Amino acid sequence: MLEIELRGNADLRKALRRFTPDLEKELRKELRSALSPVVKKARSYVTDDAPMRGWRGRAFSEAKFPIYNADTIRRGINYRVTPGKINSNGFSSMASIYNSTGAGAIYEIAGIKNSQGQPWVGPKTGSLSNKVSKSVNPKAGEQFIKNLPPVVSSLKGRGRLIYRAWAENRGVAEGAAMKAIDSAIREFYKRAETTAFRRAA
Amino acid sequence: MATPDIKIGSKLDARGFKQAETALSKLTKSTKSLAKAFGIAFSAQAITRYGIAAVNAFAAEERQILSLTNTVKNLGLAFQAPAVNEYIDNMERLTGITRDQLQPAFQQLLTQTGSITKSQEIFNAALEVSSSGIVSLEEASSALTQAYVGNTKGLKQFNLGLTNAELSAMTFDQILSAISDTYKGQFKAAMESTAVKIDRVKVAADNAKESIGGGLVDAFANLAGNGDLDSAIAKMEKFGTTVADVLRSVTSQGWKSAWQFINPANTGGFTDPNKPTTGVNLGSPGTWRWRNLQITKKEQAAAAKLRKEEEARLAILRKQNAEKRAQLALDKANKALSAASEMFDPQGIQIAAALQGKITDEQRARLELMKMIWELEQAIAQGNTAIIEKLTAQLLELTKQTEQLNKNFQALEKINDILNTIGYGRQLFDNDSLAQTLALLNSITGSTYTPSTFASQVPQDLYQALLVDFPNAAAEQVVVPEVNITIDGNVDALLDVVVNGLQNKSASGVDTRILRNTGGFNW
Repeated sequence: MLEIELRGNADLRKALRRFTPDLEKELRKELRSALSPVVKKARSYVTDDAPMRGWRGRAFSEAKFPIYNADTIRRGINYRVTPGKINSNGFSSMASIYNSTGAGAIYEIAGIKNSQGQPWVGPKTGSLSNKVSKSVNPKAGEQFIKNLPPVVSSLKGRGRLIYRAWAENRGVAEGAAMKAIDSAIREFYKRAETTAFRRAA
Repeated sequence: MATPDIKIGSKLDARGFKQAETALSKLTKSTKSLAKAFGIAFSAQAITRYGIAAVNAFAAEERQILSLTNTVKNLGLAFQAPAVNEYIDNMERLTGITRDQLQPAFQQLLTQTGSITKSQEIFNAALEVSSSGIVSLEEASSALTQAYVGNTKGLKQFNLGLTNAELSAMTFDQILSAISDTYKGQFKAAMESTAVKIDRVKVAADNAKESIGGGLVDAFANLAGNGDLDSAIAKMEKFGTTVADVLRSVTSQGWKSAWQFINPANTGGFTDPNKPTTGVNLGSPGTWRWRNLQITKKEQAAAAKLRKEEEARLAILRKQNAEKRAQLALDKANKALSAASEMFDPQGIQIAAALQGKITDEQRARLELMKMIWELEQAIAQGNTAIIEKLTAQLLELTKQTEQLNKNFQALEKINDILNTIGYGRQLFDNDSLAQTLALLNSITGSTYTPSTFASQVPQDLYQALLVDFPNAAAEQVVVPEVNITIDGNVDALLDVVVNGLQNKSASGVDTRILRNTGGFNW
């Protein structure tokens, strides 16, 4: 008998979609219900007003630094129930929660690497590195981070929005998601043993 | 930039790895065989690369030699072919001109003259002319080749001082003689030049390359002759390593006749690749046999001396450039410093501050002068000629004005001094009353002027002048007697007396303003 080997998440989802679309649909539904509360929570942590005056948007500004816009940041926090791309280490995910906007990412993880801000070199050195501060104010980084809420640690990372929501969720969403995935795989193999798969219409 | 995200249900997808593993194992196999083929040491690889270039150089030379040999053979002088080739080789070594240039020129002459001796004679003449630099060797030999057959048009560029008609009338030997007279010694002088010496060293190196290439061709022809390419490749690797070892040992001992190898089967020329007994012995280091390269010690020393001189020259040039760069930087710094100093020069600041304060005209003039002097000093320090001239002219003008001003001040000072010496200055003229003034004057001069007698005691013009200052002076001179009158009785009688008195006065000629006849007043 032919054996089915599912190598990786992409194979699994492809197989589910092809041969057992109801399982795929069910899996998506369960993943959505597991992840959406976390996303909602994360969005609620986004304040309407910018945490500091200087981060607000200005008319006719040509600044490259992302401007704080609560709606944009909230829109950028979302989840995905499709498999992700394989990374350089060969791993891919079944689902994910992401914070995709620039300002949202800054708000999320500012100060994780350098809690006092980046090392300051000033504007006159002509340095092209983005790992140093070229602000006129030597304490710009420190002041920026001080104005943000504290970083929260979770098993998946440290941050102020999605990671904070994930930490406060205490693994409920992850448990539900993994349960749904395992159920889908088990059901798939169970059906594969009993019936001959034909491509779904 | 990676955005923050939380991945759920991550799993390893090994498909990509399996593909990479397969590719890597294939790569490893081919890498191993490559390593086998090309050897391990870098020097062996370098030698192999050089070997390839050497083989190419040898192949090119072989073509040329075969071409020349063929030409000579066609002239019925096949037995002289080696000698001709030897001649070209010697010319190459002597002149530093490569075979690429020598052979075509000589071959052309050979074809035209059909005689090696004649060709050599004409070739020597061409070398003399080309050494002067007016034409290249190719052009010279081409012109002489044409002249040999009667076409003397090309000889015009030799500047022999002969007209076309004269050239046409001369025999070829006469032409050669004229060339010899005009360009005698040019070739010898050119051979003494540094450029030619360098060329000769280059030619020697190229010849070495060709020789190595020739040896390699023989060797590898033998190696691959039996069809075993793998073992040939293995031996090539060993060859590379072995030659590297040989070079190291040979160069450490010096370029003596260690490079002079004699092939036991041949005395010179190229080995026949079909003869397995000839060729290069791929034995241990020190037993390599190559063709004789004849690189003399003298030429090596000359080349080394040239290299040393060149290095010294470059070192001096580098030092000069560094000094120039340093000086430029210093000048730039000085300029910046002087510009900055100007802004913070205390003297300049003081002058500017003083000019803004409340000062007299004299002080302002002096400060302006000081400011101009300071500006001129700055301009001189900077070497700005235009500003120096402008400020100098202004300074001279201002100095003149200041001197005049000083003179005026000094004159005023003198007047003041005189007045102060007198002791009273303008006090004499500050009095409202002539009497007071005269009293003062009397105390100074010891005179006895009085307002009533002053008019007659001083000159009239002075008196008139005084009247301007003292308009009441005339009035002050009138003395009014004091008369006391006591009236008892009839006032009318008094009046009559007065009138009578006035009438009498009028009659006596005194103006009394009374009508003489009636006694009334004359209004």
